[in-house]
Amino acid sequence: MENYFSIERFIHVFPKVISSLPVNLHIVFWSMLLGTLLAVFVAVLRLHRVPVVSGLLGLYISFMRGTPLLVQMMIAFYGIPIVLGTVFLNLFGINLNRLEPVIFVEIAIILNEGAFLGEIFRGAITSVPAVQSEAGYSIGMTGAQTFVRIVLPQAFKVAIPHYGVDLIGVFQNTSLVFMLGVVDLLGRAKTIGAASGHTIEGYVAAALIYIAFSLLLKGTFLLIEKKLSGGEVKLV
Amino acid sequence: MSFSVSSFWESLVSALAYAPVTIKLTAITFVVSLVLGTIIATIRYYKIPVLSQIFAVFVTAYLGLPTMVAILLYNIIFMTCYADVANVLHITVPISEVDPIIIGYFVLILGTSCSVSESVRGAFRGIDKVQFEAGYSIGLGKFKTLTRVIYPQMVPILLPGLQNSLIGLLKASNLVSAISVIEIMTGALLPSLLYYSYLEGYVAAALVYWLIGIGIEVIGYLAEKNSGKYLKQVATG
Amino acid sequence: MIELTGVKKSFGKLEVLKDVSIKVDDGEVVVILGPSGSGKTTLLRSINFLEKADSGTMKFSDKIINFKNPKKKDILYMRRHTGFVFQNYGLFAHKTVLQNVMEGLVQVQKKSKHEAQQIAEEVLQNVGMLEKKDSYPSQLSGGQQQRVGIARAVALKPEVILFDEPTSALDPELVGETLEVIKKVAKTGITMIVVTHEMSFAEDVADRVIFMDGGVVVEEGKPGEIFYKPKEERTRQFLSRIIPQDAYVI
Repeated sequence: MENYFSIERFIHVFPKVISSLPVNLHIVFWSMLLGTLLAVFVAVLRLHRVPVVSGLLGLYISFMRGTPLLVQMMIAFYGIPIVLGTVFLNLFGINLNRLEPVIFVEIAIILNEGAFLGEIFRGAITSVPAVQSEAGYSIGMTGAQTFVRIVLPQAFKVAIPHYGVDLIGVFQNTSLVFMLGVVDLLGRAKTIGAASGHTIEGYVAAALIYIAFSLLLKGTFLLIEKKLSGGEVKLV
Repeated sequence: MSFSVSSFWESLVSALAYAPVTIKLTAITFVVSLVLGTIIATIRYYKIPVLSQIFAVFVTAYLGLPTMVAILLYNIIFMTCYADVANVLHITVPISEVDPIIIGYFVLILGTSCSVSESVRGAFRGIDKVQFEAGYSIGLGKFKTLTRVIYPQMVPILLPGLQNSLIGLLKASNLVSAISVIEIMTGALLPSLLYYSYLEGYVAAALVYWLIGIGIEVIGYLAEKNSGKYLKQVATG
Repeated sequence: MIELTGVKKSFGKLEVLKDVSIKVDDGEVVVILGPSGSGKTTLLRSINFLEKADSGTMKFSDKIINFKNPKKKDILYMRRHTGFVFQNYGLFAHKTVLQNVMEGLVQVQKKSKHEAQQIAEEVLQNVGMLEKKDSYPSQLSGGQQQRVGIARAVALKPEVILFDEPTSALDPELVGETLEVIKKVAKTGITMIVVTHEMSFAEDVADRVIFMDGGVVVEEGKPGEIFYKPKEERTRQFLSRIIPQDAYVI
């Protein structure tokens, strides 16, 4: 078994691999934060059915949902410097070609989340029965008040399970970023493997870390959902 | 803007040439995973001892493993162990002649079966218990009740979720490019190797994936229209 | 031709059947009455193993089945030789009326589609649902669905048909037509065990009435005896709580 998998090497390699976990978490945090903001924007625009914009957004959502994330990342990586390179150089003095690849990764994920979360939010908001808004108006609340105080809280409850599943998905999708040269869990495992000639232990370590952390995230969201709905949890 | 339309076109043609690879991989994986996933879900629903517990733990944990990690891991295990296992099983094919897409199938089928099994488990919750009893009451055994009464009623419940799973699978199939399988993306990039300009290749690949995805959505839409006719309630007198 | 002896069933700590024995002869129509929780539905469902009794024996034709360890063969046998009509109709939601009735004929009795269709249409005609043979259950009223449920059971020509509160889920206006259909079935001479609250139906059609309460058989006899000359106090109490449909006190 020595040639296949060595517990010793595994124990040696594990701390090194997990030390790159913050890279993945960093990506998840910023992408989800900005992605959620974008998604709210997208959802609201779609809900108001603004003529041309809705159509364009529909196209954008279809593209983000229908193409692989890796391809999107590569398009961002190669395309953004080409398209915006001169603009950024002249206006801000920033050379886009020198940017850390992780930025392009995050841009791709943010755009992705704008589409996916946008649809989740839109679905959650439309799932709140119209009678709820009508009740709000009937007691004299304005449209904005009704939306913020009546619709949004109920939509929030509906959206949370799906948001959780999506977030875990984003975490798992960070497994792609090493292809752009980012040194994350897998990136670290690969470099260790290249240096030492043994890659299995590194990959196993990465796999276990992904599984364990995903379960952790899942459990956390189950707790959040339980708290929100006073004991009842809907499994998504 | 330096985007060469001619190299984009070359990439597009090349990508389309490899589309069948992706479509075949996706379609076969999906069908097999539907069967396996349904079996797993049914075993868990009937709480068959030992098996349901094993599957429960396995599925829950396995869903935490990203496809890319699985692909790289299984690939390295395969490459490391192949020589010894081949000796034991008296397989004479050298590893260089084994198509890596086999690993792709393995990874994708395993992962998709797990997520399909979760969808089917959810669908079980949507079936009224009396449907089981009605099947038993006319003498249909478990198997016939499942195949003739329960599963058909799950179809309209499962369709939207399955459509999403299928598109997700289509996108995941892209990752076999990491183990030297030429699919749509790597196919689109083949011309780029000459020109050093990759953007056109990736955009072409994205377009082909997008088109296939739209095709899946159309099929899904038609399927949804034609199923569940029996669910529509008419005002009764 | 069905004889249950010493049937016991508990759900956790709750003893629902505390040693029940009943006997039903060929061609008899037996009605089981009783308050909720008396165990009558559980008893009925034990016969075709929709519930599994804890202990007791069942003699069916010449078979003897032990409830404690029933053989899979025996369970299947009972389900294939009894018909069951559900309180909530239990129609296959994804099949048309005709398909619902044909299902057992084709899949269980291995009849040809042609023969099955003929039988099915004849039975549907008898219950007055032939017109709706291509409708789906969701398009029918409760009464109509129940009639199809009865047709489905009758079409298989079982030795005995079990009715689990067949009219309890129906709107009052629909109860009458359903009871008429059940009476029609009774007239064909088939053995029937009916769990119901409908007293006038019981009076009209039952050969014998069994009154159950608290998991035991309290009293049994001809309808006339039970309804007008009950021997047990519990029976008297139960009857007084249910106002007969035709009694109108001025």
